[in-house]
Amino acid sequence: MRKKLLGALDDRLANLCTLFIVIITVWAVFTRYMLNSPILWVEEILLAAYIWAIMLGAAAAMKRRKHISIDVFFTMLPPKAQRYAQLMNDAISIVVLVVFGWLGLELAMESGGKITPILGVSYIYLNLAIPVGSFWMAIYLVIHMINDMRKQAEGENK
Amino acid sequence: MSVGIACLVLITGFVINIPVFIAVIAAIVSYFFLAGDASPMIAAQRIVGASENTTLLAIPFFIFLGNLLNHAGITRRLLKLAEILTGHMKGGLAQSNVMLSTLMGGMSASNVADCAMLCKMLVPEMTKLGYGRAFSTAVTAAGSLITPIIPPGMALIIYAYVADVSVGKMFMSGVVPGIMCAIALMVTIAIVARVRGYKPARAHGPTWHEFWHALKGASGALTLVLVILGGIRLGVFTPTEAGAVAVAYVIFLGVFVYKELKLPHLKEALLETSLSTATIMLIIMACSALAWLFTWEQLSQSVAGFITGYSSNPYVFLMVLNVFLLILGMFIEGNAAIIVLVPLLMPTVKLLGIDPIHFGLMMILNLAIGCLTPPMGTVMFVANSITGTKVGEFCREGFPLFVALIVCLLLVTFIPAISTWLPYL
Repeated sequence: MRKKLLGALDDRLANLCTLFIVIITVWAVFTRYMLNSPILWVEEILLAAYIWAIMLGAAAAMKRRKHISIDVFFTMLPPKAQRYAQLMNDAISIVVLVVFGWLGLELAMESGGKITPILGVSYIYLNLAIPVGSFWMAIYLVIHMINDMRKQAEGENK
Repeated sequence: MSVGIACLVLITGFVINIPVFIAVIAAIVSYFFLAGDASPMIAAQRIVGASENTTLLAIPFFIFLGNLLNHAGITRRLLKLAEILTGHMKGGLAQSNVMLSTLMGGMSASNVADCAMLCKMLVPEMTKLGYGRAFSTAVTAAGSLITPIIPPGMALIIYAYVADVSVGKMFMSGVVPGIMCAIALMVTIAIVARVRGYKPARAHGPTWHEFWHALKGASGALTLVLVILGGIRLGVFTPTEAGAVAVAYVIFLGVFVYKELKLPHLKEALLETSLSTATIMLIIMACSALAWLFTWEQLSQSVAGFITGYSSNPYVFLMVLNVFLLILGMFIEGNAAIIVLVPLLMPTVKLLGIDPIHFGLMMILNLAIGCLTPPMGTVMFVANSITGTKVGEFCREGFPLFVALIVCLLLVTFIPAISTWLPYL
């Protein structure tokens, strides 16, 4: 049960951010036109929710291997070579994501003093989405790799 | 030098099937580590920076809208209207198919999602009526190419963002070319149907009663198109607000009026939206950082100098570009191409006195056609995998439709008024 909850955590958080964006925007339109009092801080909070929705959604998409890639040449390989190529690709992707996540973490740490103009929220909370999302994606790729290798080993034993 | 290596990394990443956004990030990061004169942290900053933009905030709304349409029962009502209007023509169901794509294009932003849905819905019915499976698939795929051109298309929003033109104007510029493409496809289908003797789906034309009934059924959906387009055109809404209002309206319609939209549907549509938004936005963010890098290296000036050195005739430039983009569109995802190429080409476009809106629409239409052609046609793949059609059959049956779309592309290229008349009205 706990595993199930944790496994869907990225889905839930990403959905929450998306839903939040939709509801806040609808509400902002309503107050602007019906009540004639625009909410000034809406844009800031929307953009913060947007980057989190993107990075968490990216993790959820990585879990399902839904990220877009160009597989024309890949599918030309024989099935066995495809399996090894997939492992290599995942390894490369993990390295890139870890480097990117690390750079994002550095950026977040350095942006501590920078605050948004109206709400005065530190940019740490926006930029932190990058390392969180990237590392989460890397973890999913490690899990994919382990599963693939296990399947391969099973296939060879048979 | 460092740029050269970055490009090499990029192309290698594409070829070996690494996710597109990871390949682009790898290229940018390797540039910064190699060039050494700027901190690699800037790479991360440039990538996050692209998400902090209100124009691009419109994307999740229109994706959500597209995911909701089917569950809310709107697609079915629009299909009924399309069948009543075009069912009596030669090749009636194929005509209805294109007509439905055009109507849907007025609400949905993603052609791949549209195409998948229409393939599941219409291709089985078409084969039952004696159309070839490959022809049905080709018609559905070609029809769904209209979606990105007719507002609110995702490519229109993305182009408006990179070229720094108003989203509203870009939306308006797509209306006439979108309708033109629909007519071109319908005429082509009529000719093919006549040659092959495809039967009409209905014995007679629409009676007033039937027409009125179908129109009433679809009126909720048609109002939505008017709200989106009218609201943006009159400046009542920003595109993001129009998207939000449209989503709220569709949920209201689906839950309270048609009573078809249930909570599980909403959850499913929401998750689908989160996933699609993330995959699309990450590519956009990574590509805009790459575009910034190219600008930083002043590549666009070199491109402008190189091109104007050969010819300063805008139409020669557009023609060469069309051929280049058609080839490129076979390999690269359209939105990614727009983000990287537009900043590179913009100085040339301005130098030659081409209107950015005209240029953008030409580019979007061109890259949309690229989704239809092998080896990297995203729409073609989706359609073929759903209906079980082979690429070879698809190409043979789709060829006349492809020619029709190319004719439209040439018209848009050489007659700027087709795309610029409505936005500047």
